[in-house]
Amino acid sequence: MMRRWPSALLAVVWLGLSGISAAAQGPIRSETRYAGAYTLRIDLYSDPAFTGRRLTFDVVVAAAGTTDQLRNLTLAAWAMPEAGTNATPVRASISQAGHALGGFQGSVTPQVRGSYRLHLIISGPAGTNAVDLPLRVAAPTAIPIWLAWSIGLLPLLGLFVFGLQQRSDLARLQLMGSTGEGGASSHVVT
Amino acid sequence: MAAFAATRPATTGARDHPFAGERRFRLFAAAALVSMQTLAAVGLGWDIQWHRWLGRDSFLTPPHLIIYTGVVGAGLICIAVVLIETERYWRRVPGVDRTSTVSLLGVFHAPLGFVLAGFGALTMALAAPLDNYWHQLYGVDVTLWSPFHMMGLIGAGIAYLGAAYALASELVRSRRDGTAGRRVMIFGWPGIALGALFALTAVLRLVRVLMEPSIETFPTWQLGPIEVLTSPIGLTLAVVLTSMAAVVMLRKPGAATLMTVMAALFTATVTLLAPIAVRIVGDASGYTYRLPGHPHINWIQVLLPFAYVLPAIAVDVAYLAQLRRWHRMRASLIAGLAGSLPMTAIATILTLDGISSTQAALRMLPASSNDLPPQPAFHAIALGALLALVVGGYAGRIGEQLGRIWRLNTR
Repeated sequence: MMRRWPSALLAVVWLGLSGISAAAQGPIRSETRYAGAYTLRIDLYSDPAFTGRRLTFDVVVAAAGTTDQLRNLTLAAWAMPEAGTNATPVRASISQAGHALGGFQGSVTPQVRGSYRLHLIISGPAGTNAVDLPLRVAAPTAIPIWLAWSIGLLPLLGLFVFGLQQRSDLARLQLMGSTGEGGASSHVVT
Repeated sequence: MAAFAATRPATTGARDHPFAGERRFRLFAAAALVSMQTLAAVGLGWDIQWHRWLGRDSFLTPPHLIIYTGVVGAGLICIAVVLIETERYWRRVPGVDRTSTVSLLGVFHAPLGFVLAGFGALTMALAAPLDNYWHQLYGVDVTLWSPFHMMGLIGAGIAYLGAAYALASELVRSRRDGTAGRRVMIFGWPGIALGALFALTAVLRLVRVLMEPSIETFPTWQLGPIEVLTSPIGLTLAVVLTSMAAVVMLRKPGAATLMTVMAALFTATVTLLAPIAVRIVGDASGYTYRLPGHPHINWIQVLLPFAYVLPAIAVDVAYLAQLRRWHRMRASLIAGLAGSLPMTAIATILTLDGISSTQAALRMLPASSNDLPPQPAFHAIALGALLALVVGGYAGRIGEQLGRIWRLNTR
């Protein structure tokens, strides 16, 4: 039993290190989009994204002119469902990335699988423009419909059994009630 | 007579009863349980409007937070009551014995209502992540009649029944020792009886929500070659069963009517306020509405729950009139049929009107012509009405038995 400890510890350390290395590795996908005078490099850290999990992304904005055009930049983003995806737009949370001009970090958590576009709106001294980036959102494996219904209706079986039990209990209650509850059966004519 | 009378206990009142402490504890716990369930019901009413107008952009939306606060709160109350009562049972505290508790696994001993409500809350809690998974797979507009919505709603039904059991058993005990209505009396109704009726309204309100798709989007069921209008069957079952249970549990004229009035007032209030709440949060948070315009009050939906009072009056009158002449089984069947007649007519009209309203609403959306529900054929309506009458008669019988259990059960 004691001999298993080192290997278990090793496994835990390996899992931890693999997690750290996964987090430390670079973006999975990088795309460049042009929004008027601005050039946006969008780095996605998951592709496809997964439902219910946060998709993080970086946006680095470059301007065609002077760096003044990068001052007072604002960025807003939404995951917009494409036609055929039964979802509502999800707003991304965006924050400035450190002190670098034009750097942003964002995250968004899509709720439904399907096709989306990451809709980014950049506003600054050079104007307001929007760009889109296609996204694919995956979901856990679907269980068969019959299995889902079986699980969903299982409590109904419990309720049915409880009902039968209560029905058989009624005779006992009636007997006790007729002795313990004077007048309770005054209307009863059975 | 004063409408609300808080009376001093008499010399043999609850305060002097040997089990007074135990009784107060159970009443307090039952009231807390019903409050938590009511909170969840308010959240559900809000959530339905939220889905309609805003969709579902995360799991923890404000209505979901309210629902699950209510569910978790109710579950924790049940766990606490089961543990406290078990400890009291084994310590042989007066009033906690085999006549006032049920055994669970031979170890736990607690009032049946709290055990039942605990299982209901557990079912709802288990359904929540599964429902989230289903939405992830199939989208935000998954119908209410989906596997894990049904699981959650059945869990809610079990929990509501549990609350009714908990209050009904206390009502029986207080009636037997003569303390019912000694502390609180409203319009001649003991406070505890009104509490039990309110707990029962939850079952009716739940089935009304459950049957909503049958009024708007799935008006008929196709059983092989036979098409049946569904809403009269489900709504008749709910209204007649709960009305009959109410009138038999209290054996007081007007119990069924009062129960449906309470249900209608609660539903109307939630239906009135939910769109306003959606609009306030939606506007403040900058959401985009999915339907044209802004969330607004639908007065027909607000007033609709009062339609269920009519069948309840029929049940009240028929049961009390027939019981004096015939035996219990015939009285319950006749009362069931009496209630199902107006309910069948109302449900049929609601469905036909509901389809027209849905068609009108869908026409506002682009490319939605494929989603229009078909108008049911005459034979589907006739068969639905016939089945509703049969179900109404049977629901009268089952409701009578349930009411009798609640009239006698002390555990």
